[in-house]
Amino acid sequence: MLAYLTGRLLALVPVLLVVAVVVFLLIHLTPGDPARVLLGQDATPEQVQTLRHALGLDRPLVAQFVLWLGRALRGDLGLSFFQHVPVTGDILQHSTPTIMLSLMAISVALLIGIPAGVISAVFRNSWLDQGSLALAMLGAAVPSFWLGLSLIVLFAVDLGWLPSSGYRPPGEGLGVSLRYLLLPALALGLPNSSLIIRFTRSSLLDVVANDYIRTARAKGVGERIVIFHHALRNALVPILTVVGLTFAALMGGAVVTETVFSLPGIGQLVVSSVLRRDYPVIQGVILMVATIYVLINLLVDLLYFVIDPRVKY
Amino acid sequence: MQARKVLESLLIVLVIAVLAGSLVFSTSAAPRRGGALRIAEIGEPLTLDTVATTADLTSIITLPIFEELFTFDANFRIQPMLAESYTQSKDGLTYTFVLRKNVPFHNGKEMTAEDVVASLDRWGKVSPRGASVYKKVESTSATDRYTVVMKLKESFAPLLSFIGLPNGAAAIMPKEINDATGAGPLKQYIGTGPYKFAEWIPDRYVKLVRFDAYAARPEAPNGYAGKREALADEVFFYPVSQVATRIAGVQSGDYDIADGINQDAYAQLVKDPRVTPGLIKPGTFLTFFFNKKQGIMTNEKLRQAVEVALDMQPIMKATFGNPELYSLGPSIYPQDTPWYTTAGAAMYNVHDVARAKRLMQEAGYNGEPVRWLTTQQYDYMFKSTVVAAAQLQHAGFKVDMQVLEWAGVLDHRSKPADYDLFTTSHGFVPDPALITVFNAAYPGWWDSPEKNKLFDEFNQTADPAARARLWPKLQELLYTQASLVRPGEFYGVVLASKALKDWRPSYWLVVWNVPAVK
Repeated sequence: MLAYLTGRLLALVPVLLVVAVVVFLLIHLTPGDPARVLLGQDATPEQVQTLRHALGLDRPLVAQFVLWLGRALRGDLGLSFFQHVPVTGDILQHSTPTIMLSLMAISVALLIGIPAGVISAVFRNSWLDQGSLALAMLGAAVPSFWLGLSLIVLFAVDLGWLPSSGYRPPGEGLGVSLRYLLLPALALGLPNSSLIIRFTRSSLLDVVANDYIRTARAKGVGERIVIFHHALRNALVPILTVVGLTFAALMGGAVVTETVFSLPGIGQLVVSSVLRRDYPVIQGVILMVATIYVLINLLVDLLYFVIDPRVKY
Repeated sequence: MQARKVLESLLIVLVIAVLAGSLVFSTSAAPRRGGALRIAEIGEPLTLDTVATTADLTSIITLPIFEELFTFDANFRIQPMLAESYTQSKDGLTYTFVLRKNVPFHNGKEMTAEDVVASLDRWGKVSPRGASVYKKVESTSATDRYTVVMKLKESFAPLLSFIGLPNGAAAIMPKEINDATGAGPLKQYIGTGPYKFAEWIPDRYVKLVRFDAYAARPEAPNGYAGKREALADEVFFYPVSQVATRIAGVQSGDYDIADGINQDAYAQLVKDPRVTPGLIKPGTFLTFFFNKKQGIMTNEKLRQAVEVALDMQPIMKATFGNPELYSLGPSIYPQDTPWYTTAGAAMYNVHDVARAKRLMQEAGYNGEPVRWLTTQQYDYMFKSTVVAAAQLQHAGFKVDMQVLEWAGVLDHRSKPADYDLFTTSHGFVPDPALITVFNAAYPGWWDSPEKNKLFDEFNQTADPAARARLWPKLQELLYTQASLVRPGEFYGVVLASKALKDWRPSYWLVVWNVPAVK
């Protein structure tokens, strides 16, 4: 177990190195110059050159990369070109909204996905099953920015129940903070529930077809216990994979939802730093997202072990 | 007779009552203080150093913080702001600025001549606009505590317009901050304005609070000039990048003002009882700018072919929709300004494909692709380019439209080998000398000897009447040399909550003298 864990953690190193190289090359190959963006469209070539020098952008690419990598290994991701704050701090600041949004969105997705999936499986081919299928299809098909804007129009503009956009940190009161996050969590949770509905249904149907379920029923065990105690637990492994992947994707920043609701999260940070070519921030964020992705996958693999004692590493 | 007397006295009583009532009304109508103004902006500012960039968003957010020696009134005439008065020597080479006394900075220190000298000198180095002005500046010095003397190498008539423009601004900051900052990033935002900087949380907001010791000018408010009073306690600028979210936020009452509204939403918003859409006039002009340094468009005839091929009405109609939101016409300046002129009209909105084809032939055009840079980041740039490109193709041009992010456009357009045309726009500026496209270093490089000579003459002529006579020649040259295509002018849309009183749209939002809703 320990060896497995160490191995997986060590595998993180080459993954991150590849990510770092690819990201570095991509952003430097993309046209666009942070100095020119910062100075505005009326800047003189000399001014652009001076700023490029100050930012270290006139050095050879390899030198820039080695310098950056050296610092990154020591945990220093550099300074943002624009706000002149440490990138690590910037990422941390933008993480809170994203973590809160991800937790809320995945809760919404699970609260809808698991019950709807179970109902679908239990009442297979009934109108309930058809209804949940329709819900899942709709969730998967609706573009998230459209859903987000529709929720804003309904709940903020017409009904006036919730704020239309923006963010309050939990430090200003958890209730206020959650009010601001509710609509984005719904906009993000509803589409993400689709996959969970379908996976729960098919996974549960597979399990229910097993002999031990038939045995349980033959023993006279109640249907509720059969489904929730015997079947669902065994059906959870594939569901957990989907939930883990979804959560990892959400933690990488729900770009569209964060933009629509103007949440200062990781997704927003990625978009704005790409648009203004804030190289240190782009590199830092992508590296962090890659790390989280790998770590959450590892966590999911470890959870298999908790849910299903037969799994051995 | 008796009845008439009664009527008369009744009338007198009535008049007195009305007068008294109006008196009471006028005292009770003192503007409300307190609360917060919440403004949804198009995004996150790149920097709050208003000197170092010409980005409009930075100008808007820092306008209540920093002030300049001069500013503009509602008719875009120069008015003193931090300056009390100024004199100009006979030869036009020496300007003497007398400063207002007892004007405190946000850090409590009084503004004096040494702060102004340090600020102007930094502006001359760091600001894209200041750098071009300082090529003509011999020296700037303080002769006493409240007097600054600026000596020029050559006469430069638009000097005060440059110093007064709140964009790439000659913002006055304390000397210590100028010295400590130099060409590096500005870290403290200390000005003399009615609001002081409080907090910037990236991607959440920039917060300003009232500066209680603000020294206001005595004159009545007029445009950016006159008395500035911070009525709201706080001003928040929120970055809300989605326009639909900005609109919804004003409708729901979460924001008081939303900037950068898309033109196609205008018709619907006019009917909405919760909001007031306002148009920013004078408008911004759309430009298709030619690369005159390298490539096929160095040929004037070919540029003229593009110019005469285009039909501006469909370009503007498809881009901005509602006819209230744009206008056609050759004049860069609107009718009520001294700069209005139809010079060059013969080459504007010609829409003569046969003539374009002739010009293409004379230019020896052989179907080389016209590489045209545009972006979807600004919807109007993309739409107008699509329509114009289709018209050019109809006339026989081969167009290679390259759609990039704005940062990509900025990058490529500075490289002469990369393009033939790019799409952009130019906001209203109070003096033609401030129009960047006349600057030979501006991408596209309009560097013709005739233009340079005329532009120099225009800048060196001090007499306003003589300058007004020179300007039509410059505008005409812009069309005859086809340095750019100017399809027309459009008006930005700003949305305000109906509950917001005494607020008027302007190119750079004015947030002082505006009482908050909440």
